[in-house]
Amino acid sequence: MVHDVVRSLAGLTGKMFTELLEHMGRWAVFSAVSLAGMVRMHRLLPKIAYDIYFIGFKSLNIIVLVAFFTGMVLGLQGYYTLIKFSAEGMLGVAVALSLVRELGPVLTAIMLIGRAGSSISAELGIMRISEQIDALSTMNIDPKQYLVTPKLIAALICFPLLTAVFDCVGIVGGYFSSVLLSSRSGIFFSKIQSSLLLADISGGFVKSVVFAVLVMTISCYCGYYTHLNPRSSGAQGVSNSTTSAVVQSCVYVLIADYVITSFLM
Amino acid sequence: MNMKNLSLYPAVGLFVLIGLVCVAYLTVNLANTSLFDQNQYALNTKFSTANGLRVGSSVEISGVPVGKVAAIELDQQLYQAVVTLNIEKGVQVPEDSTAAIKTSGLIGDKYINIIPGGSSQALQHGESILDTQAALDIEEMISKYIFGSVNK
Amino acid sequence: MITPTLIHIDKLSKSFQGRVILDEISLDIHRNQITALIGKSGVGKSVLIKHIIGLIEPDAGDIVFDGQSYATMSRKDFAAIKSRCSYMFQNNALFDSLTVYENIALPLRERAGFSTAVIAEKVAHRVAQLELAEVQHLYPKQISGGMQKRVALARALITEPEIIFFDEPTTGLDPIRKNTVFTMIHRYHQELNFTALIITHDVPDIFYIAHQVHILDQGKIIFSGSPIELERSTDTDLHQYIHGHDLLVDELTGLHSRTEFMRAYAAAQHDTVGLVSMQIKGLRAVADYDGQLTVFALRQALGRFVGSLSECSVFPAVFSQEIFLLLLPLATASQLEHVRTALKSFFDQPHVTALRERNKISIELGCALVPPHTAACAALKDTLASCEIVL
Repeated sequence: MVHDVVRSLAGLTGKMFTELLEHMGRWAVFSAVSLAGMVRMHRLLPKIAYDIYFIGFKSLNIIVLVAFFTGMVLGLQGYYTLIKFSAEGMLGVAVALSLVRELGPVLTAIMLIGRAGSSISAELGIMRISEQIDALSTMNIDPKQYLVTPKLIAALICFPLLTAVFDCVGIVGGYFSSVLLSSRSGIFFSKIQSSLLLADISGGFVKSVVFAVLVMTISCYCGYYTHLNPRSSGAQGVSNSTTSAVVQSCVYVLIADYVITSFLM
Repeated sequence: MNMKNLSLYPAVGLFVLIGLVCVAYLTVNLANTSLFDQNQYALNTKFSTANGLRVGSSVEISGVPVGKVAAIELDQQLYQAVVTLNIEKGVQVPEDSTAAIKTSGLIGDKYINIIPGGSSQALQHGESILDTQAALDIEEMISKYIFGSVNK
Repeated sequence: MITPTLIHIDKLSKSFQGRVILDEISLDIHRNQITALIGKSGVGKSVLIKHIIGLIEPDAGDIVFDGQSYATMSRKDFAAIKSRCSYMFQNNALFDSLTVYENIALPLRERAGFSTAVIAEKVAHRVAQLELAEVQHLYPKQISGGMQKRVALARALITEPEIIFFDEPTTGLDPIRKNTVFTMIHRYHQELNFTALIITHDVPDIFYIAHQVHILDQGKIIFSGSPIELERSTDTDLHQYIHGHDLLVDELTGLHSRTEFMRAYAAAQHDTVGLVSMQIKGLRAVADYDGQLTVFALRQALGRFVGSLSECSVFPAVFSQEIFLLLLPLATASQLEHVRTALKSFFDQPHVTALRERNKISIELGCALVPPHTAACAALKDTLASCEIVL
């Protein structure tokens, strides 16, 4: 009995492992082909412009809103922690460093997963089930390079820029809450200037570039291969791939964040 | 597509502009990057310990910031910390000056304070400040004080 | 007219989740000919085409395109083949985020060597031809199904390909536009001399333009040949494909088809069988002058009348346009005579008489008791020989 349970567990684990390997392999090839499409970028310029508009411009408002309140709450929390050590002068540094190094890239990526990744995954999923992707391939147009590459390029442009916007607005938000709370807000910016390094900022940008590639390839991958999911089809298949695009993007962004941080530190 | 693009490109342009302004603000203003390195010259100092000091820490003379720490390396022969300072051009540092690692406040950041000497000869690019004082090790001082009082 | 083979499909097999769709299929598509692939829905006609354009990989077997085998072909060679083909999808597969115009222009835009002006000219030409001018700036979801079909057709034709695969190009179109599509395929074929493979349910219309017909059933090709060969074939299984329209009519009138009659006779022939034949001379002329629906109404009335006969298990069937047969298993001579009289009374009804007199129709009735194990052919001959004019 125990033997059977162990054996079926082992079988299940083995099956899951092979499935995982298959996904990883297909995802890697998918990403490589899409990245390779960048060499013919000039043909895709109108599509890239549209995708920048969609991923970047249309996300600006939500990024600004989220960044401002994130900065505010960081200021609030930081203030009550630092006042215990009479170090409220360091508030600017605390806010700026946590935003630039960590929260800026990660929260921007998470917001973009929710706003752009999910819709891109759904779009590709619908194109897949209505055979539009097949139609492209019969026209001798590589669907990966026609559909995924422009989004990837757009994401590589939008993620760092939106991260910069997030950082700046977040710092302003932190300043705003420090003005509300403390009379010593004057040294907020000067402290940031004296302790924020270019390495912190470029580290944040490295993260956002990696997140851009991860989020776009995973979201596109999930939508693109909607038809390969054996457990659901049609509209339900699209909904499943959208869900897994969001969940997997978030998980891999956070894992990658840890890995990159440990490399940069 | 053409109809759509007419309203698309300004939006894309606006977005990129906003993004670049933020990047520039972060890198140039907040991170205090000096875009033109020729406005600075380098001086070397050696400390027995550079504990707490890091790249980017400020260099001050009489409380006025005059530069930044550019690099911290280990001298393998003497086992000393070699600290390279970038000092703004126009600030003359006499050759008999003393460099000391100080702390702002009790637990604040470490910075380097240069105490100017009396020589009329100024240090040139690549030369060294010979007289240095390492950071006061507060932990050591506290433990000395405590153990000292116990011994009494 | 036999032209060289362009695509040779060699023992192609494919199954999905254990269900065999294609079972060692072999067929040839000849250069510059229109080949029709017919078969019931869901037998894998589209799957077969998708193999040819590389959307599906076969489980076994090979496809040889212009002498090059798919199994050993490089990606570059395959891309070259794809650029010679175009495929019109069953569900159109239009890009729903692009307008009609952009949909049609896309294959040209993504192909090097066409200036914007040339593309605009070519698209405008196709758009005019397919009456799509007023919808060209709308999105596919905003236009009717028939229009979407025409957009898909325009998109398939825009690159002037050598080989076109049409997957149900006329499904969902009204009869007039259906004819337009077939006429257009025919005309383009004469003009551009392309090779076409058409999947369709529009029997018999397709037989007028196709050079070759393949019938796919249960994973096998059950017929390959010209439409004339198909029409001449005596295989009863094939008849349902040729006379699809008649089948529906027979279903509605309650009169069975010739094939089913043969089957029923085979089942009943180990006992004495009663056969009543009824020849309505001049019914074909009614179809010509009054129209098919008048004939249909008469057939329907006849079917209903036969169904109401008290004699147990009368099996009525249409043998030809003017000859109808009633099969009475285990019949006696008196029963046969009774049925015969009853039928005569049917044609004596006032409204049937009016039709008869107007079109100069004569009715011949005959009946025969067939001894067990008589061949169907001989039994029919006997029955028809006993016919005499009754009205």
